[in-house]
Amino acid sequence: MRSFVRVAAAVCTAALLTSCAAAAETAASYPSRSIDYVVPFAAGGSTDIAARAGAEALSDELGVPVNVINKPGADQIIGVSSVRSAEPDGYTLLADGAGSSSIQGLLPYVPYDWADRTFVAKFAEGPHVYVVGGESSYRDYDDVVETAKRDPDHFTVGWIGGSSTSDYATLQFLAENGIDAARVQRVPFRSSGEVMRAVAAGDIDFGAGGASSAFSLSKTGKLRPIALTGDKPVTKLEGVPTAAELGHPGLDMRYWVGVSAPPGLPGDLTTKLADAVAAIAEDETVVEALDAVGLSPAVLTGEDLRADIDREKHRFATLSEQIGVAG
Amino acid sequence: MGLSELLAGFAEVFQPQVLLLAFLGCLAGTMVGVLPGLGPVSAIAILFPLTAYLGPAAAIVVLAAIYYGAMYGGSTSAILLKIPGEVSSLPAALEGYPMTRRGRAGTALAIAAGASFVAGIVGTIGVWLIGPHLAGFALEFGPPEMLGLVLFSLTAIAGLSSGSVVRGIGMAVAGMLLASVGLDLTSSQQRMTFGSLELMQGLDIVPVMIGLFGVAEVLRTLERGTPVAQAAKVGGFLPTRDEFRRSAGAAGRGTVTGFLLGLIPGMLPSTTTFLSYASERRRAERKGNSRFGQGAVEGIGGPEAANNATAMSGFVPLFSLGIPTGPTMALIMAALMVYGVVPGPTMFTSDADITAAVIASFFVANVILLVLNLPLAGVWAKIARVPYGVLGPVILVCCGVGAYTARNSVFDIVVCLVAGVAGWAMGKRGLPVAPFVMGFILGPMLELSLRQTVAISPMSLVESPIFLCFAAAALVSVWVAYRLHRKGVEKVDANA
Repeated sequence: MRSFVRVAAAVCTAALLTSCAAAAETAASYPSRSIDYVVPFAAGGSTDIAARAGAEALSDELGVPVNVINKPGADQIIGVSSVRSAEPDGYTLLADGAGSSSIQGLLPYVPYDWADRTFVAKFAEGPHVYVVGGESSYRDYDDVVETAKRDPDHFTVGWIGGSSTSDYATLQFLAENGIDAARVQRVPFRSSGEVMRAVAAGDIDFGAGGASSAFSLSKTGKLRPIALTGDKPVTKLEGVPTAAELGHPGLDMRYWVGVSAPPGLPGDLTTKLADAVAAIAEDETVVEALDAVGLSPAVLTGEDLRADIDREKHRFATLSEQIGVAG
Repeated sequence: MGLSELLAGFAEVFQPQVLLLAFLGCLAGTMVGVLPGLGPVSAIAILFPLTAYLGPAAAIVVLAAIYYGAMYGGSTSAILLKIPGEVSSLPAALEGYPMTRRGRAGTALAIAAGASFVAGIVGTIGVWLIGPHLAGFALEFGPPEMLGLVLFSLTAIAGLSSGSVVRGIGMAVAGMLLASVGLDLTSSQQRMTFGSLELMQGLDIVPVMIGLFGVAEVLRTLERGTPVAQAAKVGGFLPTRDEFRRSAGAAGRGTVTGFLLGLIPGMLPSTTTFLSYASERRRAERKGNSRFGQGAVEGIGGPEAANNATAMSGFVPLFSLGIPTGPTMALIMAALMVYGVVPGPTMFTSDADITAAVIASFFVANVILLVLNLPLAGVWAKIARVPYGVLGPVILVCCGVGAYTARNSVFDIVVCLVAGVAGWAMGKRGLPVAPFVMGFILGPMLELSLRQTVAISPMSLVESPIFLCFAAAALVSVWVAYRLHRKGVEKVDANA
């Protein structure tokens, strides 16, 4: 019995030592075990799909499994805070995006300093699409603007709680065209998919969402995409003009997906991870998977990324002032 | 899509590799689902990553197989241990467990499996033949129509409350209150969060329900000392003539209503099973020979059929319009999109090969599940005979796992345990738990559709014939419930 205790003690000590060694890992040996990649949304949405494509490629690149873990809820605060409180050892990463970073900078109830994290890299971004009903009287972009301007009180738009880039794309549209955002009727929905359904059914006048959310219904003719944000067309939304083509280069709201880590991730690990993320963005299969959901590779790392996100936050702040509430 | 395309789909499915995948999916789903406290939600969450390595058709085949397998398995643990892993197997727990205690577990399992099978096959034929024509239904159901349906569903609460209707309504209101915890949808105001980060994400129905039923049942068994089920026999599978007649009728009604309601976005199997349960219960009470609460076969057959039919018809709006009706459909849609297949009208034309293979695989999966589950029922039933010193802790651990996997949240395990103690206390005070769950599910739907309707135009209520029909049906339903209640009171007075 005593020898058993001794063996057990030895095993425990060995295990402890190994875990200490793991904590003091250098870039040369990292990663030596599986990585958790936390998605702060429920499975099935645009960010989740992009994160899964990225995770698979990252796993091939780094040679260890990268497990996608969905931690949805509370405007992404749950997912972000679970990553922030994890060890900064490179084994817990966040599938970051505007909704979990810059937008959080505007929410008064976020219980941490949103910028206090290690931004490693972003690898993909995509445009939003503006839609109206296929059987509505709106024929094109200018038609919508004209009607909304004339009678903003009866102009109904989809709204997803104010913590998503889709809502900011809507605000940007209203601001760009001089429509009073405070008077427009914001109708609440839980996801951009539900907004698309409501627009197609004629329940509401106007909606915005990540490009992929309009793929299916636009094929049925029940949904009419009137413009894509930015200046790049999307393969699966053929014939939909970009805002730049319509003479509105200011409408450039994009959503993005990347990798962030808890504050204090050692510099050499950050660099190694950023290089790996940059490498997967060039991978053919990843580019294809991203294209299938309306995203394209876009790499930005380190301080450049942080500065970019900071700029994004200021733009969001200006937009949200229109409706008088942050978020 | 004609018969020849469907036959081509069958040829696709009958390849050894696809058959094997379907079988493994069914088996894995059943294995997870049969664990007490774990249901389709957990099974999909646990097994979804494994499907990432398959092609689009195979991934859907496996996902669907896991989903159906977990639903079959979930009813098994609900019937044998009174521990549902998902709201939709709650009726099976309420009516199946009393049968287990009477030594009729075999019959209860057979009725559940049979009803699910019939609904699955009929539902698959529905998706194939009338699916493309019914797809527009998903667009007819806007906020005012949804509001009407929710109001009508709320009246079913009266049918769920054994004893006092007032208590039932009280519990439903309590469920609605708890479901409203979290962030407000439009203004992001915090509601009843007490500054807690965890409460900000709101309470999820899965951990709450597992606690209210699963953990509470463990506590009750500990209190009683001896688990009743342990002594009971499994008994034969064959229902009596009368049982067959009553459950077959209920299964037929459950299949039709479950299929039709399942075409509406936001209508989850959890809601339609409850509606079926409540309507069967009321039907039996009107006839005056209700055995509900003591193991009514209609209460197993109807809801189980509704469950499967709803799960099937959810594929109609998904395939024809790309509208997912619930979280599982959203996952399947994501799997399709990743492979570049965009759900939409082309699913029945240019992508018909994939759709045909998927529909064929539903037929095959339903047969596999029936073949797998009837012989296995005896094996599963032995679970109930494991000494409680071993079984109890295992159940608690499984409940914890089930609660955790819903959102990968440790907080939800705490929620589950607290709900367990609450469920035990409610049982002591004679407070009905089913209306609580119903309120919890319908509350957020009521709020969302009401606020959407108000934001769009309150006048749309009067302009919507569907809303007006539901509102009228709700009034009739309340009146009937009131009459039944009065009759019941008079009867009690007469007896006294």
